[in-house]
Amino acid sequence: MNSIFEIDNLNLHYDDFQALKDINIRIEKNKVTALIGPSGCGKSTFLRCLNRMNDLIDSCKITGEIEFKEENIYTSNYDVISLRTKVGMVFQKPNPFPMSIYDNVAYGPRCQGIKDKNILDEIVATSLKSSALYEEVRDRIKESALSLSGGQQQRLCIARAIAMEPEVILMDEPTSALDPIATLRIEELMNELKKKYTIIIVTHSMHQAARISDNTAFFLMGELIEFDKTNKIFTTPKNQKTEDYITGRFG
Amino acid sequence: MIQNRRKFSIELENLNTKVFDMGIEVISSFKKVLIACKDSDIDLATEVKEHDIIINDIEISINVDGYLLIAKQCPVAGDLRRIITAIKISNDLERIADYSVNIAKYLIKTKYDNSVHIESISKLGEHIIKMLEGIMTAFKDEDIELALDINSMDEILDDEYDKEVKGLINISKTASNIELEEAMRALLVLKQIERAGDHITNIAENIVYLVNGKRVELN
Repeated sequence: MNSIFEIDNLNLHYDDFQALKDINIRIEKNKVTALIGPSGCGKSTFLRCLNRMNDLIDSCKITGEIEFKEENIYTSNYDVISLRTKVGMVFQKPNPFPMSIYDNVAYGPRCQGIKDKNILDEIVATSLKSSALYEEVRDRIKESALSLSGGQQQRLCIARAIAMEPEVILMDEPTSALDPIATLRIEELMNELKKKYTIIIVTHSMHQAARISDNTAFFLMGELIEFDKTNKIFTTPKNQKTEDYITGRFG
Repeated sequence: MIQNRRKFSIELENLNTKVFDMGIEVISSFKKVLIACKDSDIDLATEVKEHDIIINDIEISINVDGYLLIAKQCPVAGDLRRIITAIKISNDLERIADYSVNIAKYLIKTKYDNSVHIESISKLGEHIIKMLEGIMTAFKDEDIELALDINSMDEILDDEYDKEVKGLINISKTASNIELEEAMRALLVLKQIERAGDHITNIAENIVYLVNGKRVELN
């Protein structure tokens, strides 16, 4: 397996509560990995560990190792800004900035010091094309991003992440606020994006995980119960707890 | 833990029961046609032929139920395997029932003395009934070991079939035209009984898949 993330003995506590217990997992490069499990199982907490988003929570204590491209991201001198550039994130609710479509996508590159208009134009166009939004917004790129539909806003957020030229895109329930058609567009987009990026997605929809992912990890009460090829998980899971969850017998 | 999907679980159970009941119908059809053979009972053979429509209807019903459950419930893992195997096993059972109908048709159409051939057909037919009863028990109990035991009975059936074919070849060497015609028609029936054994082997493969998700090639 060509891993981009290697996680060993990861434990995470919020004060006395242990949210992740001894997680060991390898995330395959240029694949879609789905994280599934009932609410509170630790899947989003785990996702946020991958770009150190949990650093913002004071009560959070992490032990173990998370290696991104063979480098432990939890060493004290690791460049977190650079990590978050390489490991982008898309959230559950589309969260475009209250500015134009163009400025949303150009925001990150501008923060990185890119000022040349031609370069920014190209980054914006390429990112919007990669997120399958360009054709829909090319004539109104200077209009407010808030005028877009929910599905378009979410694709804009993906474009905003892509503009930073990440290697990994973390997605935390990216379609749960969208209608079925917008959901299918995002799912189709993920299939295209994985050619260039590694995608790790938290989803509450088992069938979304089955449709879009190559590998699936099932979390329960902070433990990684089973991690395998999605085809295997959804036809012949090894663990009875996985079977019970994906067949909807509990949760 | 809270138990969910009660309605779906009941529907899956009903599908299972339908497959088992279809198996009972097919066994009954095979038993009746063998009695018809032994007693030269054309009425009973006709009943077997006409009853086939009911077996065909059960197969269609299992398929429709399975397709609807797939479309509406989006089953995965063990649930999906249960539906897929129900559809596949019902197809095999339907074919086995067709063979019993073909024996009935053979009996109805026979014009000359065929007592020698009836003996051979009965012998192989009894073997099929034992296999069918065993495989349906294996299905009901989800018993892989029994399914594999029943599968190994297919080799005995194949050996018996080969012996009968050699016997028919010997008969044909000195047979009159009428005897030859009867031998040829009997050969076709025997071949179908041998094929019924292969379908039972398919059912054994599906029982293994149902229980542990492994694909095995037994035939």
